[in-house]
Amino acid sequence: MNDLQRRLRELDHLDAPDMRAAIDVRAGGLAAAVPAPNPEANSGWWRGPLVAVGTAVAILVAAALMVLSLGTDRGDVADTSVQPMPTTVPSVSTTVVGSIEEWNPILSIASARPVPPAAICPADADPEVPGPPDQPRPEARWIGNLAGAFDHRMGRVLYVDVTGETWFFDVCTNTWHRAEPTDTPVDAEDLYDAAGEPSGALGQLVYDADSDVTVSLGFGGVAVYDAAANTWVRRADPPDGTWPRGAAYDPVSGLVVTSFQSWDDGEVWDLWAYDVDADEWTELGPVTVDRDTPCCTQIDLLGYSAELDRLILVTPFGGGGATILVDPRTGQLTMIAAPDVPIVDLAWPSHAYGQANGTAYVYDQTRRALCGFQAETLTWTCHKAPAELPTEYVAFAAITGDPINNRLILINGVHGDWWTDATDDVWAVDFGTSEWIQLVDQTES
Amino acid sequence: MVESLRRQAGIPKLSDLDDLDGVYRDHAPRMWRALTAFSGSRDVAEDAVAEAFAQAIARGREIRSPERWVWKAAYRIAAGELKRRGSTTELTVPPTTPASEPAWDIRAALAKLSPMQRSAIVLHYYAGYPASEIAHITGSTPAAVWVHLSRGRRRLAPLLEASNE
Repeated sequence: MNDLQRRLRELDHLDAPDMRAAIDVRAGGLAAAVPAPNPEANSGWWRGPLVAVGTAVAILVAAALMVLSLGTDRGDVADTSVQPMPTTVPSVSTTVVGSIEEWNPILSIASARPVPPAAICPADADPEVPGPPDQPRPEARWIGNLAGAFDHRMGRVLYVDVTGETWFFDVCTNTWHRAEPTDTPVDAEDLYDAAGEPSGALGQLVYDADSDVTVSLGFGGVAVYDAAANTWVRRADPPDGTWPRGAAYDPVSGLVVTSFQSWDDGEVWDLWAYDVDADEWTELGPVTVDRDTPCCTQIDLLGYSAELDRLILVTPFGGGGATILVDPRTGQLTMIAAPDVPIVDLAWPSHAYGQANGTAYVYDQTRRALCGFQAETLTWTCHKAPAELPTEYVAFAAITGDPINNRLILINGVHGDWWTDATDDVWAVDFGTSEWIQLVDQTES
Repeated sequence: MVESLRRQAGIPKLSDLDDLDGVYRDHAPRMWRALTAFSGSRDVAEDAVAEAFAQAIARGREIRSPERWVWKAAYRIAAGELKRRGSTTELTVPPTTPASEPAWDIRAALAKLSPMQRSAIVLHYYAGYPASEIAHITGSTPAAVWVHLSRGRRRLAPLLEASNE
């Protein structure tokens, strides 16, 4: 029991009133209003004077509960006029569904330093050879975090496990190394719940080439990791009442773009930009597509397409889903109605996605396939995980690019009861051959 | 995890509760205290608990999980009443501390939180519910609940330290 639990136990000193009489009166009133069709529903101290009420009252009660429950403001439906997409592909239906109102032009200011070129592996390293099976490695428990990013300056994958420990994965030798920085991205008490289980306080990691740091955006707050200094530094919280659901680096402005869910005002989806150097959040604008349709009840930012110069957003849950491209310079929204939109849900539990090869990748939990957005065709191309995987994974703890070896890194496969069952292996998918390669075998139990 | 939290909070297993008698006996006092802390008002809490149980009686065996249903209904009735009163932000706390009022410090500190932070803190750390169950009760998502827990904790820490001095 922690201090907060102990303090809250002081509430036990409040003498609770006996509410049975009040319940009797209220239930009796309902019973008097409508004859009861279901006497066997009665039990307990109210059995004598009270009778159950019928469907009509149940409907009235349900309606009253709906009125009492916290409502949502859906916002206006966007303009649906059809216009051609700059890179229109005949086989794919694209619709400009409007522009984000009062779009902040901050992303048009081209001030970013270029992304450092990827290093090359030493001559004596063979990135195709799996790393030693007995090497130390990050905790592979529960998947709630999406914490993986390729640090271009260091030429290694940064990863934070559920315990808040920071690791590097060397993509040339396929070995894990503890970073042992001065701090963790979130407060230690945020990492676990009251029962001592991992809370999933960590979130997506995004490498910011302009500032040469990696940004951690999680439930527990925002922090930046400076690989040269090996430090985590806490930063300004996101706007109150929101939490970041997806993030991508914009190589033009040098800002980290995030999609937010606001729950206090209902399902409002905003895009914000985070300036690492200034430690400043700037609202870009709300994503005002029609959320009353099944496809658009949730919108998540997955990445940035360098070829199209568009932010890639998806409306989860596959069949009815869609891909939305946002012009980061003008706020123009284009909805792509194409088959094979990946089925993802970044809300809970989180599903890994990553930026690599100039586009976004995500692991589809239902089809159990790795899907990448193709700028040439404006479609998602999915490759089902091969039978060689030790088990049928439904997710990965982290997905990130490896520009040194032109492949995608997938960390800690999750399977079965995927709240808890995660392996500690590492895989890669080669962009050239689409082959899956095991980089680190899972620890033998 | 769920059972561990419930054990810490002294709550019996769901399977042990098969009717509203048991739910009332095992949950009503705790529910009232939690809603008093959430709403800042004994009356709002009492009305919400009584109304939730009355509605549960009316629904009878339509309700498959009485405990979950009553917690959810009571919370939402209390939240609706707060909203009706316009108390959706910080609660008003009298400037003086009545020596005779139990748990005054913790209630005064909780009153400084947003309603969602307050409900998450009380339901998790006092009532013993995990984030997924709190999301069900409050009509939110587990992820959102975690943010409220995290930020609520951070906001409470200095308030409770000050009350200890």
